[in-house]
Amino acid sequence: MKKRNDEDIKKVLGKLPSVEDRQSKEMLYQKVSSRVNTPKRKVAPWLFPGLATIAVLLVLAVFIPVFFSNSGMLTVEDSADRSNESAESSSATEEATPSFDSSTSESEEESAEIKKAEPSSEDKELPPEENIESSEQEKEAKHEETQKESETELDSLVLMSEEGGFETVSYPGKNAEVILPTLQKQQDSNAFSPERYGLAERAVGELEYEVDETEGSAVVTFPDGFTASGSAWVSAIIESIRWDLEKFQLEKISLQTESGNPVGLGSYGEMSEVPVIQEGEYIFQLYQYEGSSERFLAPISVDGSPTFQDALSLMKEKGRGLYVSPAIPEHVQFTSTTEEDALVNVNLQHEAWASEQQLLTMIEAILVTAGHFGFEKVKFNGMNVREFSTYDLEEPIEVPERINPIVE
Amino acid sequence: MRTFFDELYENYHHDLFQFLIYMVKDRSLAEDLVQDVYVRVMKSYDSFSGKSSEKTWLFSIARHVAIDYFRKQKRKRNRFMEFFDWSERGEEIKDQNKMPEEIAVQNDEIQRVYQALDKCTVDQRSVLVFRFIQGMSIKETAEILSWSESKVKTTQHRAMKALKGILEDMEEGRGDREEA
Repeated sequence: MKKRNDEDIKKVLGKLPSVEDRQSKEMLYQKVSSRVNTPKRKVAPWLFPGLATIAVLLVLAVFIPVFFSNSGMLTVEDSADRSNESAESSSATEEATPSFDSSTSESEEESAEIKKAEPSSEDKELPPEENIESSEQEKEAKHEETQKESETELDSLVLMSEEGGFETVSYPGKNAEVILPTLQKQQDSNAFSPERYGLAERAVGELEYEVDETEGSAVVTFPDGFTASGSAWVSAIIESIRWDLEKFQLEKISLQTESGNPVGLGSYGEMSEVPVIQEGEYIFQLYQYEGSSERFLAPISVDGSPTFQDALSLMKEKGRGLYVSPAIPEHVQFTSTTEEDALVNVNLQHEAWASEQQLLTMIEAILVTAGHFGFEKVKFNGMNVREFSTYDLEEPIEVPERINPIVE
Repeated sequence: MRTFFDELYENYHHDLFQFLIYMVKDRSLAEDLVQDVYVRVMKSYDSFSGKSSEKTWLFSIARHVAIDYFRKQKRKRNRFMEFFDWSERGEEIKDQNKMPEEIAVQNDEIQRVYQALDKCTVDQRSVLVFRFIQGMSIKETAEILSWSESKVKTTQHRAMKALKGILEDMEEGRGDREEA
Protein backbone atom coordinates (compact mmCIF):
# COMPACT_ATOMS: atom_id res chain seq x y z
CA MET A 1 0.00 0.00 0.00
CA LYS A 2 1.29 3.39 -0.98
CA LYS A 3 2.32 5.66 1.92
CA ARG A 4 1.53 9.35 1.40
CA ASN A 5 2.55 12.36 3.34
CA ASP A 6 0.82 15.77 3.32
CA GLU A 7 3.10 17.10 0.61
CA ASP A 8 2.21 14.24 -1.74
CA ILE A 9 -1.47 14.95 -1.30
CA LYS A 10 -0.98 18.69 -1.76
CA LYS A 11 0.83 17.98 -5.01
CA VAL A 12 -1.93 15.74 -6.27
CA LEU A 13 -4.57 18.30 -5.27
CA GLY A 14 -2.57 20.91 -7.09
CA LYS A 15 -2.57 18.73 -10.19
CA LEU A 16 -6.34 18.40 -10.28
CA PRO A 17 -7.27 19.83 -13.67
CA SER A 18 -9.23 22.88 -14.33
CA VAL A 19 -12.82 21.97 -15.31
CA GLU A 20 -14.30 24.33 -17.84
CA ASP A 21 -17.71 25.93 -17.60
CA ARG A 22 -19.34 25.09 -20.93
CA GLN A 23 -21.84 27.89 -20.87
CA SER A 24 -20.60 30.98 -22.59
CA LYS A 25 -20.25 34.28 -20.84
CA GLU A 26 -23.08 35.74 -22.92
CA MET A 27 -25.41 32.84 -22.21
CA LEU A 28 -24.60 33.04 -18.54
CA TYR A 29 -25.29 36.76 -18.48
CA GLN A 30 -28.63 36.31 -20.22
CA LYS A 31 -29.70 33.72 -17.68
CA VAL A 32 -28.50 35.78 -14.75
CA SER A 33 -29.98 39.05 -15.98
CA SER A 34 -33.32 37.44 -16.72
CA ARG A 35 -33.47 36.18 -13.16
CA VAL A 36 -32.22 39.44 -11.65
CA ASN A 37 -34.72 41.51 -13.62
CA THR A 38 -37.69 39.31 -12.81
CA PRO A 39 -40.08 41.66 -11.06
CA LYS A 40 -40.20 40.85 -7.46
CA ARG A 41 -43.62 39.89 -6.21
CA LYS A 42 -44.67 42.84 -4.14
CA VAL A 43 -47.54 41.17 -2.41
CA ALA A 44 -47.84 37.81 -0.78
CA PRO A 45 -49.12 35.12 -3.17
CA TRP A 46 -52.03 34.33 -0.89
CA LEU A 47 -53.18 37.93 -0.65
CA PHE A 48 -55.50 38.17 -3.66
CA PRO A 49 -57.08 34.72 -3.30
CA GLY A 50 -57.50 35.46 0.38
CA LEU A 51 -59.17 38.80 -0.26
CA ALA A 52 -61.42 37.23 -2.88
CA THR A 53 -62.47 34.52 -0.44
CA ILE A 54 -63.24 37.08 2.25
CA ALA A 55 -65.26 39.13 -0.25
CA VAL A 56 -67.29 36.07 -1.25
CA LEU A 57 -67.98 35.22 2.39
CA LEU A 58 -69.10 38.78 3.07
CA VAL A 59 -71.44 38.74 0.09
CA LEU A 60 -72.88 35.41 1.22
CA ALA A 61 -73.26 36.70 4.76
CA VAL A 62 -75.28 39.61 3.44
CA PHE A 63 -77.41 37.82 0.87
CA ILE A 64 -78.19 34.49 2.52
CA PRO A 65 -80.28 36.05 5.33
CA VAL A 66 -81.98 38.30 2.78
CA PHE A 67 -82.66 35.31 0.55
CA PHE A 68 -84.23 33.30 3.34
CA SER A 69 -86.15 36.32 4.54
CA ASN A 70 -87.58 36.84 1.07
CA SER A 71 -88.45 33.16 0.78
CA GLY A 72 -90.53 33.43 3.92
CA MET A 73 -92.36 36.47 2.66
CA LEU A 74 -93.08 34.81 -0.65
CA THR A 75 -94.65 31.89 1.14
CA VAL A 76 -97.03 34.20 2.92
CA GLU A 77 -97.88 36.10 -0.22
CA ASP A 78 -98.45 32.89 -2.09
CA SER A 79 -100.78 31.79 0.61
CA ALA A 80 -102.57 35.07 0.57
CA ASP A 81 -103.21 34.79 -3.12
CA ARG A 82 -104.97 31.57 -2.59
CA SER A 83 -107.00 32.41 0.42
CA ASN A 84 -107.21 35.34 2.70
CA GLU A 85 -104.44 37.83 2.73
CA SER A 86 -105.37 39.71 5.82
CA ALA A 87 -106.61 36.82 7.85
CA GLU A 88 -103.80 34.48 6.85
CA SER A 89 -101.08 36.92 7.75
CA SER A 90 -102.76 37.68 11.03
CA SER A 91 -102.26 34.21 12.36
CA ALA A 92 -98.74 34.55 13.56
CA THR A 93 -98.61 35.24 17.24
CA GLU A 94 -96.80 33.65 20.09
CA GLU A 95 -100.08 32.87 21.81
CA ALA A 96 -101.42 31.10 18.81
CA THR A 97 -98.26 29.22 17.95
CA PRO A 98 -99.12 25.55 17.69
CA SER A 99 -97.54 23.03 20.01
CA PHE A 100 -95.43 20.47 18.28
CA ASP A 101 -94.48 16.89 18.88
CA SER A 102 -90.93 17.13 20.08
CA SER A 103 -90.31 13.46 19.39
CA THR A 104 -90.15 13.95 15.66
CA SER A 105 -87.66 15.98 13.77
CA GLU A 106 -90.23 16.68 11.13
CA SER A 107 -92.35 18.55 13.59
CA GLU A 108 -89.37 20.67 14.52
CA GLU A 109 -89.01 21.54 10.89
CA GLU A 110 -92.67 22.32 10.85
CA SER A 111 -92.21 24.71 13.72
CA ALA A 112 -89.46 26.48 11.84
CA GLU A 113 -91.53 26.60 8.72
CA ILE A 114 -94.51 28.16 10.35
CA LYS A 115 -92.43 30.58 12.32
CA LYS A 116 -90.72 31.56 9.11
CA ALA A 117 -94.02 32.78 7.81
CA GLU A 118 -94.38 35.20 10.68
CA PRO A 119 -92.85 38.25 9.10
CA SER A 120 -93.13 40.63 12.00
CA SER A 121 -92.62 38.40 15.01
CA GLU A 122 -88.87 38.77 14.94
CA ASP A 123 -89.11 42.52 14.74
CA LYS A 124 -91.34 42.59 17.73
CA GLU A 125 -88.84 40.77 19.87
CA LEU A 126 -86.05 43.16 19.11
CA PRO A 127 -85.42 46.11 21.40
CA PRO A 128 -86.53 49.37 19.83
CA GLU A 129 -83.03 50.84 19.73
CA GLU A 130 -81.83 47.94 17.67
CA ASN A 131 -84.83 47.68 15.44
CA ILE A 132 -85.77 51.24 14.72
CA GLU A 133 -83.35 53.66 13.24
CA SER A 134 -85.55 56.53 12.19
CA SER A 135 -88.83 58.04 13.17
CA GLU A 136 -90.38 56.74 9.97
CA GLN A 137 -89.38 53.23 10.80
CA GLU A 138 -90.67 53.77 14.30
CA LYS A 139 -94.08 54.68 12.93
CA GLU A 140 -94.08 51.61 10.75
CA ALA A 141 -93.15 49.45 13.69
CA LYS A 142 -95.91 50.91 15.81
CA HIS A 143 -98.33 50.34 12.98
CA GLU A 144 -97.20 46.74 12.76
CA GLU A 145 -97.59 46.28 16.48
CA THR A 146 -101.07 47.73 16.42
CA GLN A 147 -101.97 45.56 13.50
CA LYS A 148 -100.56 42.53 15.26
CA GLU A 149 -102.51 43.18 18.42
CA SER A 150 -105.69 43.17 16.40
CA GLU A 151 -104.69 39.97 14.69
CA THR A 152 -104.07 37.79 17.64
CA GLU A 153 -107.00 35.43 17.09
CA LEU A 154 -107.35 32.87 14.38
CA ASP A 155 -110.42 33.09 12.23
CA SER A 156 -112.47 29.93 12.73
CA LEU A 157 -115.22 29.22 10.20
CA VAL A 158 -117.10 26.60 12.16
CA LEU A 159 -119.05 26.37 15.39
CA MET A 160 -117.98 23.38 17.42
CA SER A 161 -119.97 24.04 20.58
CA GLU A 162 -123.62 23.21 21.06
CA GLU A 163 -124.32 26.78 21.95
CA GLY A 164 -127.94 27.61 21.17
CA GLY A 165 -129.63 30.74 19.97
CA PHE A 166 -128.18 30.59 16.46
CA GLU A 167 -130.27 30.36 13.36
CA THR A 168 -129.13 29.60 9.84
CA VAL A 169 -129.51 32.50 7.44
CA SER A 170 -128.25 32.00 3.91
CA TYR A 171 -127.02 34.77 1.66
CA PRO A 172 -125.95 34.69 -1.96
CA GLY A 173 -122.43 35.67 -2.74
CA LYS A 174 -121.89 38.95 -4.52
CA ASN A 175 -122.49 37.53 -7.97
CA ALA A 176 -125.02 34.94 -6.74
CA GLU A 177 -122.81 32.06 -7.84
CA VAL A 178 -122.77 30.49 -4.41
CA ILE A 179 -125.05 30.47 -1.39
CA LEU A 180 -123.41 31.00 1.95
CA PRO A 181 -125.24 29.66 4.99
CA THR A 182 -124.37 31.76 8.04
CA LEU A 183 -125.11 31.34 11.72
CA GLN A 184 -126.52 34.38 13.41
CA LYS A 185 -127.86 35.12 16.83
CA GLN A 186 -131.60 35.49 16.47
CA GLN A 187 -131.71 38.96 17.95
CA ASP A 188 -128.91 40.13 15.66
CA SER A 189 -130.25 38.83 12.38
CA ASN A 190 -132.48 41.81 11.68
CA ALA A 191 -129.59 44.26 12.10
CA PHE A 192 -127.20 42.21 10.00
CA SER A 193 -125.66 44.04 7.06
CA PRO A 194 -124.67 41.58 4.33
CA GLU A 195 -122.78 44.32 2.48
CA ARG A 196 -120.36 44.62 5.34
CA TYR A 197 -119.49 40.95 5.00
CA GLY A 198 -119.16 40.95 1.25
CA LEU A 199 -122.50 39.23 0.73
CA ALA A 200 -125.54 40.03 -1.41
CA GLU A 201 -129.00 40.73 -0.02
CA ARG A 202 -131.01 37.70 0.95
CA ALA A 203 -132.82 36.03 -1.93
CA VAL A 204 -135.60 34.65 0.24
CA GLY A 205 -136.39 37.62 2.45
CA GLU A 206 -140.08 37.62 1.46
CA LEU A 207 -140.62 33.92 2.09
CA GLU A 208 -142.05 32.21 5.14
CA TYR A 209 -140.93 28.83 6.42
CA GLU A 210 -143.20 26.44 8.23
CA VAL A 211 -141.27 23.46 9.50
CA ASP A 212 -142.79 20.27 10.89
CA GLU A 213 -139.82 18.41 12.34
CA THR A 214 -141.89 15.40 13.40
CA GLU A 215 -143.07 14.91 9.83
CA GLY A 216 -139.69 15.90 8.42
CA SER A 217 -141.23 18.38 6.07
CA ALA A 218 -141.43 22.10 5.51
CA VAL A 219 -143.64 24.41 3.53
CA VAL A 220 -142.19 27.56 2.01
CA THR A 221 -144.77 30.21 1.24
CA PHE A 222 -144.15 32.81 -1.45
CA PRO A 223 -146.16 36.02 -1.70
CA ASP A 224 -148.80 36.02 -4.34
CA GLY A 225 -147.54 37.55 -7.52
CA PHE A 226 -143.94 36.67 -6.67
CA THR A 227 -141.69 36.99 -9.66
CA ALA A 228 -138.05 36.14 -10.14
CA SER A 229 -135.99 37.19 -13.14
CA GLY A 230 -132.89 35.43 -14.27
CA SER A 231 -131.97 31.85 -13.78
CA ALA A 232 -129.04 32.76 -11.51
CA TRP A 233 -131.37 34.50 -9.09
CA VAL A 234 -133.92 31.68 -9.24
CA SER A 235 -131.10 29.25 -8.49
CA ALA A 236 -130.03 31.46 -5.59
CA ILE A 237 -133.59 31.36 -4.21
CA ILE A 238 -133.80 27.59 -4.41
CA GLU A 239 -130.34 27.05 -2.89
CA SER A 240 -131.06 29.53 -0.11
CA ILE A 241 -134.23 27.65 0.83
CA ARG A 242 -132.40 24.35 0.87
CA TRP A 243 -129.54 25.67 3.03
CA ASP A 244 -131.82 27.61 5.35
CA LEU A 245 -133.65 24.37 6.10
CA GLU A 246 -130.67 22.04 5.94
CA LYS A 247 -130.22 21.84 9.71
CA PHE A 248 -133.68 20.25 10.14
CA GLN A 249 -132.65 17.13 8.17
CA LEU A 250 -135.97 17.25 6.31
CA GLU A 251 -137.27 14.76 3.81
CA LYS A 252 -139.48 17.13 1.85
CA ILE A 253 -139.61 20.87 1.14
CA SER A 254 -142.82 22.13 -0.48
CA LEU A 255 -143.25 25.45 -2.23
CA GLN A 256 -146.51 27.34 -2.54
CA THR A 257 -147.90 30.80 -2.91
CA GLU A 258 -150.02 32.43 -0.27
CA SER A 259 -152.94 31.21 -2.32
CA GLY A 260 -151.64 27.64 -2.15
CA ASN A 261 -150.59 27.47 -5.77
CA PRO A 262 -147.31 26.31 -7.21
CA VAL A 263 -144.69 29.04 -7.50
CA GLY A 264 -143.60 30.37 -10.84
CA LEU A 265 -139.82 30.59 -10.83
CA GLY A 266 -138.79 32.02 -14.20
CA SER A 267 -137.10 29.56 -16.49
CA TYR A 268 -137.57 26.80 -13.87
CA GLY A 269 -141.31 26.99 -14.49
CA GLU A 270 -143.88 26.38 -11.81
CA MET A 271 -142.43 24.54 -8.83
CA SER A 272 -144.18 22.98 -5.87
CA GLU A 273 -141.21 21.26 -4.30
CA VAL A 274 -137.43 21.53 -4.07
CA PRO A 275 -135.14 18.62 -3.22
CA VAL A 276 -133.55 18.50 0.21
CA ILE A 277 -129.78 18.53 0.44
CA GLN A 278 -128.39 15.05 0.02
CA GLU A 279 -125.27 13.60 1.58
CA GLY A 280 -122.17 14.06 -0.58
CA GLU A 281 -123.79 16.70 -2.77
CA TYR A 282 -121.38 19.49 -1.81
CA ILE A 283 -117.77 20.14 -1.03
CA PHE A 284 -116.64 23.23 0.84
CA GLN A 285 -114.31 25.91 -0.39
CA LEU A 286 -113.59 29.45 0.65
CA TYR A 287 -115.63 32.53 -0.26
CA GLN A 288 -114.22 36.01 0.17
CA TYR A 289 -115.44 39.08 -1.63
CA GLU A 290 -112.76 41.30 -3.01
CA GLY A 291 -111.53 43.80 -0.46
CA SER A 292 -113.45 42.19 2.35
CA SER A 293 -111.71 40.70 5.35
CA GLU A 294 -114.59 38.32 6.02
CA ARG A 295 -114.40 34.77 4.79
CA PHE A 296 -116.99 32.02 4.61
CA LEU A 297 -117.02 28.33 3.90
CA ALA A 298 -118.94 28.01 0.66
CA PRO A 299 -120.81 24.83 -0.29
CA ILE A 300 -119.95 23.98 -3.87
CA SER A 301 -122.14 21.42 -5.59
CA VAL A 302 -120.39 18.52 -7.26
CA ASP A 303 -121.63 16.30 -10.05
CA GLY A 304 -122.29 12.63 -9.70
CA SER A 305 -121.58 10.78 -6.51
CA PRO A 306 -117.92 11.32 -5.73
CA THR A 307 -116.16 9.39 -3.00
CA PHE A 308 -114.70 11.35 -0.13
CA GLN A 309 -111.23 10.86 -1.65
CA ASP A 310 -112.58 12.38 -4.88
CA ALA A 311 -114.14 15.18 -2.88
CA LEU A 312 -110.77 16.03 -1.33
CA SER A 313 -109.28 16.33 -4.79
CA LEU A 314 -112.21 18.48 -5.95
CA MET A 315 -111.64 20.75 -2.95
CA LYS A 316 -108.25 21.68 -4.39
CA GLU A 317 -109.68 22.69 -7.75
CA LYS A 318 -109.91 26.35 -8.65
CA GLY A 319 -112.50 28.08 -10.78
CA ARG A 320 -115.60 27.21 -8.79
CA GLY A 321 -116.70 30.82 -8.56
CA LEU A 322 -115.48 34.37 -8.95
CA TYR A 323 -114.84 34.90 -5.26
CA VAL A 324 -114.31 31.27 -4.41
CA SER A 325 -110.93 29.68 -3.87
CA PRO A 326 -109.71 26.32 -2.55
CA ALA A 327 -109.21 26.14 1.18
CA ILE A 328 -106.52 23.53 0.64
CA PRO A 329 -103.07 24.74 -0.42
CA GLU A 330 -101.64 23.36 -3.63
CA HIS A 331 -98.71 21.73 -1.86
CA VAL A 332 -100.99 19.40 0.08
CA GLN A 333 -101.25 15.95 -1.49
CA PHE A 334 -103.86 13.48 -0.29
CA THR A 335 -102.25 10.07 -0.58
CA SER A 336 -105.20 7.99 0.60
CA THR A 337 -108.29 7.88 2.76
CA THR A 338 -109.53 4.95 4.79
CA GLU A 339 -112.89 4.62 6.46
CA GLU A 340 -113.69 2.96 9.80
CA ASP A 341 -117.42 3.28 10.37
CA ALA A 342 -118.03 7.00 10.91
CA LEU A 343 -114.29 7.79 11.09
CA VAL A 344 -112.31 8.70 8.04
CA ASN A 345 -108.51 8.70 8.03
CA VAL A 346 -107.02 11.34 5.76
CA ASN A 347 -103.43 10.58 4.84
CA LEU A 348 -101.61 13.49 3.34
CA GLN A 349 -98.23 14.95 2.51
CA HIS A 350 -97.44 18.62 2.55
CA GLU A 351 -94.74 21.25 2.43
CA ALA A 352 -94.50 24.32 4.62
CA TRP A 353 -97.68 25.96 5.83
CA ALA A 354 -97.78 29.64 5.06
CA SER A 355 -99.42 30.31 8.39
CA GLU A 356 -101.37 28.68 11.15
CA GLN A 357 -104.49 30.30 9.73
CA GLN A 358 -103.98 28.53 6.44
CA LEU A 359 -103.69 25.22 8.26
CA LEU A 360 -106.77 25.89 10.38
CA THR A 361 -108.91 26.86 7.39
CA MET A 362 -107.90 23.77 5.50
CA ILE A 363 -108.69 21.49 8.42
CA GLU A 364 -112.09 23.09 8.98
CA ALA A 365 -113.01 22.87 5.30
CA ILE A 366 -112.11 19.17 5.30
CA LEU A 367 -114.02 18.56 8.53
CA VAL A 368 -117.14 20.22 7.17
CA THR A 369 -116.90 18.35 3.89
CA ALA A 370 -116.37 15.07 5.75
CA GLY A 371 -119.45 15.83 7.86
CA HIS A 372 -121.41 16.46 4.70
CA PHE A 373 -120.26 13.07 3.40
CA GLY A 374 -121.66 11.37 6.49
CA PHE A 375 -118.55 11.04 8.63
CA GLU A 376 -118.52 11.98 12.27
CA LYS A 377 -114.79 12.13 12.88
CA VAL A 378 -111.68 12.79 10.84
CA LYS A 379 -108.18 11.60 11.71
CA PHE A 380 -105.40 13.47 9.93
CA ASN A 381 -102.20 11.51 9.30
CA GLY A 382 -98.98 13.10 8.07
CA MET A 383 -99.64 16.60 9.35
CA ASN A 384 -96.59 16.54 11.64
CA VAL A 385 -98.26 19.20 13.73
CA ARG A 386 -99.60 17.57 16.87
CA GLU A 387 -101.82 20.23 18.30
CA PHE A 388 -102.71 23.81 17.66
CA SER A 389 -105.53 26.07 18.66
CA THR A 390 -108.49 23.90 19.56
CA TYR A 391 -107.55 20.82 17.55
CA ASP A 392 -105.42 17.92 18.68
CA LEU A 393 -104.25 16.52 15.39
CA GLU A 394 -103.00 13.33 17.01
CA GLU A 395 -106.58 12.36 17.76
CA PRO A 396 -109.67 12.02 15.56
CA ILE A 397 -111.53 15.32 15.33
CA GLU A 398 -115.30 15.56 15.44
CA VAL A 399 -116.89 17.21 12.44
CA PRO A 400 -118.68 20.50 13.18
CA GLU A 401 -122.44 20.73 13.02
CA ARG A 402 -122.62 24.31 11.85
CA ILE A 403 -120.54 26.68 9.76
CA ASN A 404 -119.90 30.36 9.27
CA PRO A 405 -120.87 31.75 12.67
CA ILE A 406 -121.22 35.52 12.73
CA VAL A 407 -120.71 37.20 16.05
CA GLU A 408 -121.01 40.96 15.93
CA MET B 1 -25.13 45.70 -14.31
CA ARG B 2 -23.48 44.38 -17.40
CA THR B 3 -20.20 46.11 -16.60
CA PHE B 4 -20.14 44.74 -13.12
CA PHE B 5 -20.90 41.26 -14.38
CA ASP B 6 -18.16 41.52 -16.99
CA GLU B 7 -15.69 42.58 -14.36
CA LEU B 8 -16.57 39.71 -12.03
CA TYR B 9 -16.59 37.22 -14.84
CA GLU B 10 -13.19 38.25 -16.17
CA ASN B 11 -11.55 38.31 -12.76
CA TYR B 12 -13.14 35.43 -10.88
CA HIS B 13 -15.32 33.20 -13.01
CA HIS B 14 -12.72 30.53 -13.57
CA ASP B 15 -11.88 30.14 -9.88
CA LEU B 16 -15.56 30.42 -8.96
CA PHE B 17 -16.54 27.56 -11.24
CA GLN B 18 -13.60 25.42 -10.05
CA PHE B 19 -14.69 25.88 -6.47
CA LEU B 20 -18.25 24.86 -7.24
CA ILE B 21 -17.38 21.87 -9.45
CA TYR B 22 -15.03 20.43 -6.82
CA MET B 23 -17.59 21.03 -4.13
CA VAL B 24 -20.61 19.44 -5.86
CA LYS B 25 -18.78 17.14 -8.34
CA ASP B 26 -21.39 17.64 -11.02
CA ARG B 27 -20.82 19.86 -14.04
CA SER B 28 -24.40 20.76 -14.90
CA LEU B 29 -25.20 21.33 -11.25
CA ALA B 30 -22.16 23.55 -10.92
CA GLU B 31 -23.35 25.52 -13.93
CA ASP B 32 -26.72 26.08 -12.26
CA LEU B 33 -25.14 27.04 -8.97
CA VAL B 34 -22.77 29.52 -10.59
CA GLN B 35 -25.84 31.27 -11.98
CA ASP B 36 -27.26 31.41 -8.49
CA VAL B 37 -24.05 32.97 -7.25
CA TYR B 38 -24.14 35.71 -9.87
CA VAL B 39 -27.82 36.37 -9.23
CA ARG B 40 -27.20 36.78 -5.51
CA VAL B 41 -24.18 38.95 -6.18
CA MET B 42 -26.09 41.20 -8.57
CA LYS B 43 -29.01 41.54 -6.22
CA SER B 44 -26.87 42.31 -3.21
CA TYR B 45 -24.31 44.50 -4.94
CA ASP B 46 -25.75 47.62 -3.35
CA SER B 47 -25.27 46.11 0.08
CA PHE B 48 -21.60 45.27 -0.55
CA SER B 49 -19.83 47.36 2.07
CA GLY B 50 -16.29 47.00 0.79
CA LYS B 51 -14.98 45.90 4.16
CA SER B 52 -13.76 42.70 2.56
CA SER B 53 -12.30 42.30 -0.88
CA GLU B 54 -14.55 41.67 -3.84
CA LYS B 55 -13.08 38.20 -4.24
CA THR B 56 -13.66 37.30 -0.59
CA TRP B 57 -17.23 38.52 -0.84
CA LEU B 58 -17.86 36.58 -4.07
CA PHE B 59 -16.48 33.28 -2.77
CA SER B 60 -18.26 33.69 0.53
CA ILE B 61 -21.50 33.88 -1.42
CA ALA B 62 -20.48 30.88 -3.53
CA ARG B 63 -19.80 28.82 -0.42
CA HIS B 64 -23.21 29.67 0.99
CA VAL B 65 -24.85 28.74 -2.31
CA ALA B 66 -23.10 25.35 -2.15
CA ILE B 67 -24.06 24.82 1.49
CA ASP B 68 -27.68 25.71 0.71
CA TYR B 69 -27.64 23.08 -2.02
CA PHE B 70 -26.27 20.42 0.36
CA ARG B 71 -28.91 21.28 2.94
CA LYS B 72 -31.68 20.90 0.38
CA GLN B 73 -30.25 17.56 -0.67
CA LYS B 74 -30.11 16.42 2.93
CA ARG B 75 -33.76 17.32 3.49
CA LYS B 76 -34.77 15.44 0.35
CA ARG B 77 -32.71 12.45 1.45
CA ASN B 78 -34.28 12.45 4.90
CA ARG B 79 -37.77 12.45 3.40
CA PHE B 80 -36.77 9.64 1.09
CA MET B 81 -35.28 7.64 3.97
CA GLU B 82 -38.62 7.58 5.73
CA PHE B 83 -39.96 4.97 3.38
CA PHE B 84 -36.79 3.47 2.00
CA ASP B 85 -34.64 0.86 3.75
CA TRP B 86 -31.34 2.61 3.21
CA SER B 87 -29.29 0.12 5.22
CA GLU B 88 -30.08 -2.74 2.84
CA ARG B 89 -30.39 -0.98 -0.50
CA GLY B 90 -28.23 2.08 -0.03
CA GLU B 91 -25.00 0.41 -1.02
CA GLU B 92 -26.45 -0.66 -4.33
CA ILE B 93 -26.94 2.96 -5.29
CA LYS B 94 -23.84 4.29 -6.94
CA ASP B 95 -22.87 7.86 -7.57
CA GLN B 96 -24.48 8.61 -10.91
CA ASN B 97 -22.53 11.84 -11.44
CA LYS B 98 -20.38 11.42 -14.45
CA MET B 99 -16.74 12.26 -13.88
CA PRO B 100 -15.77 15.32 -15.90
CA GLU B 101 -13.69 14.52 -18.99
CA GLU B 102 -10.88 16.64 -17.68
CA ILE B 103 -10.59 14.30 -14.67
CA ALA B 104 -11.27 11.10 -16.57
CA VAL B 105 -8.16 11.53 -18.66
CA GLN B 106 -5.91 11.94 -15.63
CA ASN B 107 -3.99 9.16 -13.90
CA ASP B 108 -5.48 6.90 -11.23
CA GLU B 109 -4.02 8.82 -8.32
CA ILE B 110 -5.65 12.06 -9.44
CA GLN B 111 -8.96 10.31 -10.07
CA ARG B 112 -8.81 8.68 -6.61
CA VAL B 113 -8.15 12.04 -4.93
CA TYR B 114 -11.03 13.56 -6.89
CA GLN B 115 -13.32 10.77 -5.68
CA ALA B 116 -11.94 10.90 -2.15
CA LEU B 117 -12.97 14.55 -1.84
CA ASP B 118 -16.56 13.32 -1.70
CA LYS B 119 -15.86 11.55 1.58
CA CYS B 120 -14.59 14.69 3.32
CA THR B 121 -16.90 17.01 5.18
CA VAL B 122 -18.09 20.20 3.46
CA ASP B 123 -15.79 22.33 5.65
CA GLN B 124 -12.78 20.08 5.00
CA ARG B 125 -13.52 20.05 1.28
CA SER B 126 -13.89 23.84 1.23
CA VAL B 127 -10.50 24.31 2.88
CA LEU B 128 -8.78 21.79 0.55
CA VAL B 129 -10.25 23.43 -2.56
CA PHE B 130 -9.43 26.99 -1.50
CA ARG B 131 -5.97 26.17 -0.22
CA PHE B 132 -4.57 23.62 -2.65
CA ILE B 133 -6.67 23.72 -5.80
CA GLN B 134 -7.27 27.46 -5.87
CA GLY B 135 -3.96 28.28 -4.17
CA MET B 136 -5.41 30.76 -1.69
CA SER B 137 -3.57 31.79 1.45
CA ILE B 138 -4.60 30.90 4.99
CA LYS B 139 -5.73 34.47 5.46
CA GLU B 140 -7.86 34.59 2.28
CA THR B 141 -9.44 31.25 3.16
CA ALA B 142 -10.17 32.45 6.69
CA GLU B 143 -11.84 35.61 5.35
CA ILE B 144 -14.01 33.71 2.89
CA LEU B 145 -15.07 31.22 5.53
CA SER B 146 -15.36 33.90 8.22
CA TRP B 147 -13.16 31.77 10.39
CA SER B 148 -10.03 32.42 12.36
CA GLU B 149 -6.79 31.45 10.66
CA SER B 150 -6.12 28.86 13.36
CA LYS B 151 -9.44 27.18 12.61
CA VAL B 152 -8.49 27.05 8.94
CA LYS B 153 -5.19 25.41 9.89
CA THR B 154 -6.87 22.88 12.17
CA THR B 155 -9.51 22.02 9.56
CA GLN B 156 -6.79 21.75 6.92
CA HIS B 157 -4.83 19.36 9.11
CA ARG B 158 -7.87 17.18 9.75
CA ALA B 159 -8.81 17.27 6.06
CA MET B 160 -5.35 16.04 5.02
CA LYS B 161 -5.50 13.27 7.58
CA ALA B 162 -8.98 12.25 6.48
CA LEU B 163 -8.03 12.30 2.82
CA LYS B 164 -5.05 10.08 3.46
CA GLY B 165 -7.17 7.59 5.33
CA ILE B 166 -9.81 7.63 2.60
CA LEU B 167 -7.22 7.00 -0.09
CA GLU B 168 -5.75 4.13 1.93
CA ASP B 169 -9.19 2.64 2.38
CA MET B 170 -9.89 2.99 -1.33
CA GLU B 171 -6.69 1.15 -2.15
CA GLU B 172 -7.61 -1.60 0.30
CA GLY B 173 -11.05 -1.74 -1.20
CA ARG B 174 -12.84 -0.95 2.04
CA GLY B 175 -15.27 1.48 0.59
CA ASP B 176 -16.87 4.14 2.72
CA ARG B 177 -15.07 5.60 5.65
CA GLU B 178 -16.50 7.43 8.54
CA GLU B 179 -14.90 10.83 8.81
CA ALA B 180 -13.62 12.26 12.03
